[in-house]
Amino acid sequence: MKILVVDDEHDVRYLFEQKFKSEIKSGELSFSFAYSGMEALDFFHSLTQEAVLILSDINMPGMSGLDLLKRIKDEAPQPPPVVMMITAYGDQQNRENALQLGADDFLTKPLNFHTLKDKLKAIILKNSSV
Amino acid sequence: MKKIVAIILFIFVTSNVFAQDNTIDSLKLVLSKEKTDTGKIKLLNNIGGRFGMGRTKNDSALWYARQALNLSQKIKDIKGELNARFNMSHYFRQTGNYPEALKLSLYNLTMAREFHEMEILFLQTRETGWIYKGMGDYRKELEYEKKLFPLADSFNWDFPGYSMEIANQCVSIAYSDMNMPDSALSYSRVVYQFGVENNDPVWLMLGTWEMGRIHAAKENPDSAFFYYKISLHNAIKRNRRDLISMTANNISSLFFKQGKIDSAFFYVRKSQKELQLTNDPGDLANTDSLLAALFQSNHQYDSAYSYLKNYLVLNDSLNNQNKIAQAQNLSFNETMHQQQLEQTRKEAKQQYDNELKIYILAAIIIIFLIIAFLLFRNNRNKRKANILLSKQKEEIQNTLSELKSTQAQLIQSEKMASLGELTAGIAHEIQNPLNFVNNFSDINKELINELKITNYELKIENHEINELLDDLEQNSEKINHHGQRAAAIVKGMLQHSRASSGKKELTDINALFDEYLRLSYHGMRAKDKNFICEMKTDFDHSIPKINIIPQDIGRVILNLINNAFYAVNEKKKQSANSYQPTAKIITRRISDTVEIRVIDNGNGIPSTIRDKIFQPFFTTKPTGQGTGLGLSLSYDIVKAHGGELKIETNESEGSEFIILLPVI
Repeated sequence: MKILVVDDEHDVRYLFEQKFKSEIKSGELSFSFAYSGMEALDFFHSLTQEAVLILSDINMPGMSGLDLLKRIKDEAPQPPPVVMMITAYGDQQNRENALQLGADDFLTKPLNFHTLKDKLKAIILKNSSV
Repeated sequence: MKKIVAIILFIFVTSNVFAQDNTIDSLKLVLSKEKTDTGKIKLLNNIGGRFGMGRTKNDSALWYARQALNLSQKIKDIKGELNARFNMSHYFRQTGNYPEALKLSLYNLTMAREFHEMEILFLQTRETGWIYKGMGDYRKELEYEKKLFPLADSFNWDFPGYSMEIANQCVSIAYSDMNMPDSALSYSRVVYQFGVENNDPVWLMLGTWEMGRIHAAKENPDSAFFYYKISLHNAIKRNRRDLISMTANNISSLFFKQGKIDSAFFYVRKSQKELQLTNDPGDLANTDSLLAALFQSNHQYDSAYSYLKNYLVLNDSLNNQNKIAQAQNLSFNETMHQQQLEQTRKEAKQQYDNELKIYILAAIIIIFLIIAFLLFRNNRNKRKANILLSKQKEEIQNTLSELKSTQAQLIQSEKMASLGELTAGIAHEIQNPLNFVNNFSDINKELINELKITNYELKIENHEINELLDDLEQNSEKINHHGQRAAAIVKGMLQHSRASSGKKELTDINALFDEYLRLSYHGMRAKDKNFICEMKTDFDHSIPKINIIPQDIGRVILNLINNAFYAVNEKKKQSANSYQPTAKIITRRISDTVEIRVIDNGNGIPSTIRDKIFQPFFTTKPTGQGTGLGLSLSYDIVKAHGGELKIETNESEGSEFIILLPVI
């Protein structure tokens, strides 16, 4: 499954690559990284019929995660991609806004990778069953 | 009155006695036709006066005077009565009846003074002096004549200056009678000067007569002759029989002294001739005495004896002892009366002075009382104003201290609010790098673990490598541990700063406290199995459900109870076994407020740090056991509910946190 991680922190790439080293090696998961909302949108439009999971931070300079979410939900082909938003602890307002815009799930910083892995596995399982 | 004055002045002024007789006849004619009593009285007095002053028909003078007196008393005509009595006193003096004259005179003086009849008072005073002169009491004569001066200006006459010249002349005569010629001369000169300056034959005549007497007394016969001859010339010219007789008698005496008997006889006969008409007993006695002496010196003893006898008879008549005694008695009585009057006057004056003093004193006392009252009122007003000022000052001071306290609270709130905002900002910024630290340290641990496994699988047995890997693993563990600590702090900070997501709902505050008390206790017990604390609750069940965010207030309750448990646990560690850790919760409804007290019997909070306990990050707990955000967070939550969070603490006795929440 192709996962697009959107975060303005560049070290996110190393973190994910190391955390999901085995999954990447096995081809179970592939990660792409975008460091802004616009970059993520460009990447999203360049993709063809491939299922994508978008994992996006909310607090980003320029286009925020919420703006990105709205654009994806508006512009994406049916069925829309699964979008998981990463929110800071206690950022209740953003969380509510994301829910209204159609976010599928939430993750809270600091990321608990065990939880993330479980959630991803569940999605993969769900997709494969579909 | 003017008519009377004119008559009285006759003694010095009138020039023709015979002309007076004609006038009297005319007046009698007028009187017979006069119908009014007042008019009759005036005419009677006028006629009587003219008879008396003319020294002719003295008895007629008395008759008219008595008629005037009777009629005046009948119709109560005071002036008429005074004039009548004056004429009578004049008559009695001329006839040598001094007691009667004095009696009438003194009575008239009193009446004139009482009725302010100043003219008659003046003339009666002069008459009184002459009565004393006739009695030979020259001291009293002088006394009365001197009284003329102050009276002379108290009325107006048609003869300007005459009243003053009468006074001068009478005083001069009195001094001469007292044989004090020098004193007499000073007054007499004034009269003489007045006659010369005004070319007034009357005053010239009178002045020169008196000057002659004085010079005779001073043994200056030439000067005496000079003045006497001028006087005699004028007296003859004006037919003044009384003065002619007196002056002639005086000149005769001077000639007799010089031994010029013939000349002396000539003048004494001249005097005698005039006296036949005037019948003045004093002058007659003087003439008889002089004639006796002259006949004696001429050795004509029969004639001398005859005149001497006449003289003695007249003298006896004038100086009758009984009469003198009566007059003296009258005089004494008058003196006593005057003294009494004086005494009465003094007493009246004294009384007046006393009354005046009393009034002045009363006025002063009243003024003082008014001043005292004003001062008292001012003082009272000032006192009231001072009390008011003190009260206002106290109120202002109270308000000021309240303002200062509020200001301090506001500053503190502002500090805490700004600190909270700063905290939130910092927390957000730190959160991301801290996540990386934690995550990468976590990955490091995994990588080291993988390396160890790989070494094991490759059978690489290098002790140093293993030791280094162990150190790396341990370091990563430490990094992760401390990163987690920092993350917990950041989490607390964000908790502190984040807006509450909960919604207000009606909550049973007693139940909420009971629930969180148990939760906290079990939490403490989970951490420390040895933890024991007696828990007491005193709930006011009348408290209604209040509108709060239960999760937030629950967090406050948890913070406060956790702190209380921590405090008692710390004290138990330090204390003997007798110490019984206790935490107590009391709820009370006070008017529109719910008061919740969380009480512990721990060590209390030192006064030095009491102001800091609500500040973020302030903690007394050891590092790692508290973030210092609990009370700060609680403070903000209570404030957000419109309530208050306060502390009452006694060091080493425990603390009491008080939450005040509005009922509505």
